[in-house]
Amino acid sequence: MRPMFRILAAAAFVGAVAFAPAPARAADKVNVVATLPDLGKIAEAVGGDRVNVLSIASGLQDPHFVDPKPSYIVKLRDADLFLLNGLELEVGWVPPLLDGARNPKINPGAAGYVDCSKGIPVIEVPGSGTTRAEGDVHPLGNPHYLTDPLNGKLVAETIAEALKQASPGDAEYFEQRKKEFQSSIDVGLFGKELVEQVGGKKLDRLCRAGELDAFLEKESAGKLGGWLGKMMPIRGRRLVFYHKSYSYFNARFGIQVANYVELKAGIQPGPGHLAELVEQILSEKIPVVATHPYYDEKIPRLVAEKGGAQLVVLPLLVGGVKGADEYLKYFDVITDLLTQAYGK
Amino acid sequence: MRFSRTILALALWAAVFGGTASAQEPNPSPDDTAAMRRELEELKKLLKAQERLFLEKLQALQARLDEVEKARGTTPPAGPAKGEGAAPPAQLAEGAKPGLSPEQKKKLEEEFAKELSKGEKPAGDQPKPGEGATTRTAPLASAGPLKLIDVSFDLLFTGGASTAPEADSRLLQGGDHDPKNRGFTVGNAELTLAGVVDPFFRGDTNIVFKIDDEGETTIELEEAYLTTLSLPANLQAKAGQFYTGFGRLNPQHPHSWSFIDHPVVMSRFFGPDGLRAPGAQLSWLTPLPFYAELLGSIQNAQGGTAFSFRNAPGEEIAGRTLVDRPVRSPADLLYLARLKTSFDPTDELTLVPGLSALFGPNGTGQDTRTEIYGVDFYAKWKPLANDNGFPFLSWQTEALWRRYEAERILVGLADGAAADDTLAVGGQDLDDWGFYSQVVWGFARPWTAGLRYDYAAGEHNEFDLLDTLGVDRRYDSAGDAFRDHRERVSANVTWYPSEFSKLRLQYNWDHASFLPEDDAHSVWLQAEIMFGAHAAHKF
Repeated sequence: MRPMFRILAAAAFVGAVAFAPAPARAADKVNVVATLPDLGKIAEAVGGDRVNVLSIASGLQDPHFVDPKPSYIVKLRDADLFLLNGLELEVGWVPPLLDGARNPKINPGAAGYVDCSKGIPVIEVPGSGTTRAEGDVHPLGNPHYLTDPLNGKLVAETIAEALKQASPGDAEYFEQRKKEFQSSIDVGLFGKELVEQVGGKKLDRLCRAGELDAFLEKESAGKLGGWLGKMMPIRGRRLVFYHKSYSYFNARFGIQVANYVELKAGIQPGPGHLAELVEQILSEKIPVVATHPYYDEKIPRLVAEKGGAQLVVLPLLVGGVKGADEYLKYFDVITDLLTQAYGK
Repeated sequence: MRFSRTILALALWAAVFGGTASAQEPNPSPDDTAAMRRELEELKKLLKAQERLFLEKLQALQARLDEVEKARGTTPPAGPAKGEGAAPPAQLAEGAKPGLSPEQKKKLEEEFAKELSKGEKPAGDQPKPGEGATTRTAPLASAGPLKLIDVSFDLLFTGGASTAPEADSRLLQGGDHDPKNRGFTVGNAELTLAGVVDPFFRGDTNIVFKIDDEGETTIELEEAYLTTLSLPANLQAKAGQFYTGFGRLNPQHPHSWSFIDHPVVMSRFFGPDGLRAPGAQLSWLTPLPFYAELLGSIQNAQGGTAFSFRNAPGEEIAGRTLVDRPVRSPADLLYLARLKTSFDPTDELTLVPGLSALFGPNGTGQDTRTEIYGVDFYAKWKPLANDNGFPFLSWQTEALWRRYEAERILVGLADGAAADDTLAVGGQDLDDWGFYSQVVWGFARPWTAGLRYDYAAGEHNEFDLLDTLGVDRRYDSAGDAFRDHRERVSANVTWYPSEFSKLRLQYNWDHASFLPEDDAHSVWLQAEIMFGAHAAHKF
């Protein structure tokens, strides 16, 4: 009799849970879960009021080291779309979340699994023969492509396509908002005046091809404004960075990295390297040391102090520092911090 | 400078064209042939000069471009070919869209579904509308090769010594991966193979190599199972050889342990290898707004990896010799029920409480049963802005209780005893319990410190009698290394040179009545290396 009772009790419990009212969810909206706040913010910009967006990582976090908490599994359980950065940035924590979520809509290979690195021109892809003697290298290349605003435009494209598939009735709405978002990046990057004169599309193409300067010189077109204009006075300047997290940004804005605090990814720098670093900063008069909010500030601060350089804490993700809580504001803040650090 | 050169070039061109234009005027005087020749020569010279000028300009521009690119530290994604590769996915997706209204599409899908269900395809595996290949966005410049199999290898290697004699060490350290020798132990050399099979299944395999006390290499198929990927209704099934999902520690592989050895109560209840057996498991993520997972499994109950259950015939448990007990009904298999929940009181604090229960037959008789119940709790604090995962503080506790129904022993008729004394000596429930509680503090990158307290005990049982065959049968749980009161305190420090390696120094204080002086001190140093695919850990 006792086992029978147990089975009945278990069945009653299961039944009660199964038929309990599901948490309230807006019916027609697309439920989007993004691994990073950057992707979440772009999804919000494109999706407007037709989407519910949740981001897993906080802007304060190092996206390599996010704990796969069970509560994230619940978020993924209810997702229609799952946006991830890709390029194995989240390889340490996304697989158990997807496994736990039991949501075939967002499994790799399904339409709801949206790898936002698709179509991104990836840099720093390790050559064949690279081993982990180089540290925890990203085998598919540098995954921090969202630090280049032009890549933000490509991601908006990918997200808009995924949203259109998830909710075909709102396709026009998403298309419209995507275009608005993309042109706001153009204006942010090149300045309103130049975009009006030359057109965002052309500027985008020239900038990607590295022909923007030559074009501006030749055509004596309007003045370069926006973030590029703001960064002009410090273009070509050098700094020491903590990790290879800003390679895309540096390429776009012409900042040169003289060396890294973390010599090999994921491996704590040794005192020998740090001493050499200080020596290099002193002898080459490198004015700035840059780090991210989640790294222990002690070491980069000490390196900067000993070398007489300025320490600047830059956000890697949207929301990483105060004021950088939208994708566009993020670049406002970064360019502010960098120009201030160089004293220009 | 470059500008002025351009102007000069243009001026030259103008001059040349001007000259040729004037030469075309009709002026057929014979002297003019010489003049025309001269002009031709001049033109040729000019052309040469032009060529040089343009070449110079070209080279200067190229050099400048190179300079800029070098300054940026990378080759920009220039060139029309790459530009096209980076084109927005819009065109492709647009082109791939069939010209059907949603209603038409749905109808078509239903038709296909009908057609497909005529085959012998399990119902749950049908792709849902909107998930088919036709609507998938085509991958563009998708990075990396096809991901078919993840291979990784993990080696745990320990050296050290204990004040306990080696024979007692083997009783102290009940786990098969624990160090049991003075000197060195290869506790675990594990090959992990994992991969997605198809849209419906994933496969996981762990093959473990160990070198035992006698220097012999043993190979174990620790786990090999399939997991479903597309069951409906938040269900997931697992089948094959796998660790029973009881509590937190039992399903964990040694490389994710926070101490070099298994807690006393775990190896006491689940044997040297942990509880694992061939079987099937179904788990359900409930639709509740917080994390709540219900899990049930059915597994075989025999063999050394089902220690508290049928185990292996011939083994001694509580004065009984385990018998061969075949499966006669479903009741002779091993059943697990588990509830796992999780809550985040803050963004930086996560709690994971769980309950587990196990029911199965045991090998002391043909109808005897074992029940094990467990409560587990895990809490982890980690600031959002953590540096490579540091700092953090975690606390893990599991408490377990076991009722082991031991078969009675028929007692022989001692001289002068009454006939009705023949039965029921030792037909009793053996109750055991224990817990461990551990704190791990990641105090500074890349260092952690751990402290664990272990406790295990059982209800006192003893007998001393002659059985019906006239054999003297004696048992006293007070001397039984696997039932007597045990305590242990372990402290360790771990250094992680990278995410893929660690060095761990651990001290154990053990208290057990079978030890010569009631307690023992041990020090172990463990090294771990992991290479191959980047592993992801469950929380």
